[in-house]
Amino acid sequence: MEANNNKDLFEKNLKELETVVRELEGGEVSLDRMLELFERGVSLTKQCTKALDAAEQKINILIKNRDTGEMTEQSFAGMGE
Amino acid sequence: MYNREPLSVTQVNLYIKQVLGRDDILNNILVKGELSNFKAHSSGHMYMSLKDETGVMRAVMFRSAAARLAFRPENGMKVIARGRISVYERDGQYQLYIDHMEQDGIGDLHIAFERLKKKLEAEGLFDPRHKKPLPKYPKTIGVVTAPTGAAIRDILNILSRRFSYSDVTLYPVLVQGENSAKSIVEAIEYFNRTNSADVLIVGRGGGSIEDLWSFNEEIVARAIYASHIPIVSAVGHEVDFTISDFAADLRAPTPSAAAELVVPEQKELREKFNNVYSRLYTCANRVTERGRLRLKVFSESGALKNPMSKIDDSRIYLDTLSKAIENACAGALNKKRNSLAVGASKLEALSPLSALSRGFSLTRDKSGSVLKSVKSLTAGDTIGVTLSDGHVSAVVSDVKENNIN
Repeated sequence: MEANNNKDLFEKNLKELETVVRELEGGEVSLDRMLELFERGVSLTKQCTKALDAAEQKINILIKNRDTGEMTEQSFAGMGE
Repeated sequence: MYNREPLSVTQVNLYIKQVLGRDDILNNILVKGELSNFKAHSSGHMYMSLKDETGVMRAVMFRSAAARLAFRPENGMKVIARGRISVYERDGQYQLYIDHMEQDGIGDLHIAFERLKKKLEAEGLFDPRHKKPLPKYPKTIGVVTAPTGAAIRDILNILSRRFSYSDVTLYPVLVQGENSAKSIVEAIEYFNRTNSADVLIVGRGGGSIEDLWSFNEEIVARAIYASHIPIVSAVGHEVDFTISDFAADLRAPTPSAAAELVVPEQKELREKFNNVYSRLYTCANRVTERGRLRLKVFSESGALKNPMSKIDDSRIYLDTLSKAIENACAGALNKKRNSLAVGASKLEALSPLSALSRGFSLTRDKSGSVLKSVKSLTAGDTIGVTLSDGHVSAVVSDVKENNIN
């Protein structure tokens, strides 16, 4: 759950970063706004890079319960190379 | 003993070969059977046996004919071969020299494929307008394929190498055989019902048209079309298109290619972040540069009205500007700060105060407004005159307007 929240945040940050850069590159910003955007942009970039560093891929396989038909997730580590 | 000369083995083999060669039926024959002992030699020739329940026959297909094959022969395939029957003298064995071969029953599959394709196309299942864009950074990737084999291995390899940020959930399915289509549909529906993936890869490795057939089934195409999660189809090896490919939001030629399509390259993303830094700096620089230009324009035009306070304002503005830039951009913007200081000294040079020291004076009316014309003055008005080192109050004794104006 926590991991998913982090990922939602990553995506949100990334989207905001894109708007920040777009607004800055659009040109027509006041000095105050520029500073605000600049600081926000730097902080967002740092957060995104950190999120990438922390990400660890989970690989799961769904297993069907023969009786109930319910699906449960289980780590799919043993790839049997 | 014998009243005839014996023939050599080679002579007999040759004789049989000639006898067979004179037979019209054996010279152009169609044979159907199942492939076994198939071997593709490095020379390009193919050696195999054709068999049915009770018999077996050796066969060979030379390179020139083999190169024209529309499929990859495999043991167990049912085929129809055309060629001639002759003797391989060295072994004393007859064999079928195949010049053309096709899969038995494939004609029917092709017809069924074309018919279904037309039908679904007419219904709009392949309509490009229906195709959904893939998410840029999927949190979870659902994979619908067999849990063993090259396809899942290739997909996982690429996903972990490219973008470890995305989790992977594998829904294991049968990718060929009787219940295969049904299990693929179940998997697609499961992900949609539970909303547990941002994008799906549905596929398998390459194979014969029969092997891939579940991906040509109507129920699979409809499940793909109905999915609200974007689907990348990944069936086979480059050349074979399936109905699923047409119905999917995106078609990948192989499972590996599908994995590459659903995630960005982590390295590229990191580079992008680094680029953002420099873009931010560039933009910030541009904004301050514009501020400097504005200052310059203003100093050349409006400063006369209230020179001292405007200049003070400008100084404060410049200070704020440079302090703010220092805070935000640290070393990167220091250069700009220096150019701002240069701007300030230029502004000073343009100041009207320095004009006063050269002998010009500034005249104001009673209210303190700077006078630019004699028109508003009449004799008896009080005016103020500012010189470089002081101030004079005076009374107007006469007003003369220049004629040439």
